[in-house]
Amino acid sequence: MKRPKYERGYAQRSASLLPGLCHSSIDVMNSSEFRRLWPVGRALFAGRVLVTFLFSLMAWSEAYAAGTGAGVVVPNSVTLEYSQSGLTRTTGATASFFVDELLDVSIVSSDASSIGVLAGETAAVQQYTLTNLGNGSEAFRLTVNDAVAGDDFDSSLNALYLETNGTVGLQVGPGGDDLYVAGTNDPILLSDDFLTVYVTADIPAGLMVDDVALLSLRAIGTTILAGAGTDDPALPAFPAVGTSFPALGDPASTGGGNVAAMVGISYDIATPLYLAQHDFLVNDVGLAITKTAFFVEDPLGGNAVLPGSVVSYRVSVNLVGGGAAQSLVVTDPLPVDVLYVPNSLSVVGLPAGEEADDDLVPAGVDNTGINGETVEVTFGDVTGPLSLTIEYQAIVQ
Amino acid sequence: MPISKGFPTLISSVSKFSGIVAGTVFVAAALAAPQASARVELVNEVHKVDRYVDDKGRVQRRLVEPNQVVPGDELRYSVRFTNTGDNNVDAGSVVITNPIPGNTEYLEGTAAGDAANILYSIDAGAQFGTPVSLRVEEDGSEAPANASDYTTIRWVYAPSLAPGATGTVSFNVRLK
Repeated sequence: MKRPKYERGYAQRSASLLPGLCHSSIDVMNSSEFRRLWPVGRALFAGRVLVTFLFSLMAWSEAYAAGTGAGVVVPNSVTLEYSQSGLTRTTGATASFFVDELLDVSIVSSDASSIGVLAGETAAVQQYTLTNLGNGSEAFRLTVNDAVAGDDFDSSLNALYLETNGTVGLQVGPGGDDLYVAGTNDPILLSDDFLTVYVTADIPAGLMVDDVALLSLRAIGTTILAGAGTDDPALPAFPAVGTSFPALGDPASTGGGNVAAMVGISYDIATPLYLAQHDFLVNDVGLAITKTAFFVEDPLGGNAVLPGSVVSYRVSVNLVGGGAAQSLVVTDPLPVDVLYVPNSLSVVGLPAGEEADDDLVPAGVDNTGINGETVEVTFGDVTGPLSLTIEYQAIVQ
Repeated sequence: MPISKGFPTLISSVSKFSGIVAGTVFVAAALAAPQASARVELVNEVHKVDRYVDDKGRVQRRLVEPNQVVPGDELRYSVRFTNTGDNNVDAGSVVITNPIPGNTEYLEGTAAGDAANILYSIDAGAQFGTPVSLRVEEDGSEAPANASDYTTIRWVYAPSLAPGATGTVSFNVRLK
């Protein structure tokens, strides 16, 4: 039996937003926008993991009592004792019935709060828990609706994954969780068993901060598909609660054959438990910064790093998402063994007043230049999506 | 009187099925029938208590064949006994004992039987008593037993059973 899994891949998400900065650091001063993103963001993630755990635990205990198994025979044996002229006699009889398969399901979002995304993000992850609330073994057909009405935009389904590799969170690729293909690997769950399902979706560009996209995941027992010919609750053929499909249930415990399968209340289209939805929320802004030494010219005309070689550095700052970052300053202390090449600084994306020269004059107006052996570039208030580039050269000592 | 006329027999619930039909079977099996000649015949039947809404919008209950039983359903067991012999069965001697079937729980207040004193056991039939007399120990202190604690029901039929006379007892359970 599968054990509950309460995981979510926050570590991956954090890592993707905090790339290694080499010698660069990024400083956003007086930025209410950006400060909101990090410390609060971390606390939010930590809280979400805890809440998710409690939520799943409740679902588990509720699901524990799916009841007597499908195909079980329940006998009732009565005995009757009587006497006649003082002589005692006993008789007895048994009446039995088979337990039919009850088709019931639960699918719930395992994410307690909105999934923060950035415009243009690919493969944003939502996590769901699929539970077989029926009393038999059942395969489930999973369907995603990425065009739920009533929201600000639509995400685009990327892929569905089943938690199969036993490692917390979604892992993609060799040794990772299984990609779900409808009709090929519909997950089979025993009664009361449950499974973590991951939905990944792509977020379009050009969104406003706080825009919301709803996505829903549906899980329908394949017995319903076999008995009614559809797993789409919007179609008239979708069965009503109480519909019984003869011989489509689990095998009977005795006598061969299969018991009937009955549609349970979780498939009531008015109060569906076979469907859950969750939202993607567009975050303010995300910053990605990378630094590369993109060209080296040594004194001999080659490309080796030698004393006297000139190294060309490029710092790329990307704002993703549609939000604003206020008072964005990039500071890049040079490595200890190199010296800045005067007048080599060039910057794409400087605001008015800032100059890509070496000095910091006039003070308070031009805050971009070389301060000791540190490159300082002030971009001020910027709105994403935006790409900013800083390039300069240094001589290896 | 010749003893050969006084042997009991039993009739199990009549099954309309032979093997698996429509996915669900109503099976019946005799416990034992060593004697050849009938005196008290016993019929044990199970029905599903089906709830439905009548044409006036009221929820009604009816007994149907147990062909579609799933967890949560209510079932009624009824046991009919008939003196098919030629002589009276001794007054107070008819005792019907029925363990609550596995995977089910007894529904409080449903045990019925004309002219019968109904007793319950909470220890698999070792002792029987009236509901108020049954106590369970819970966290070191005594408490009245609940219907869900009952393991066995017993009916003690008071009158004598004349030839041709019939009695019925019944109780309801819910399939866990």
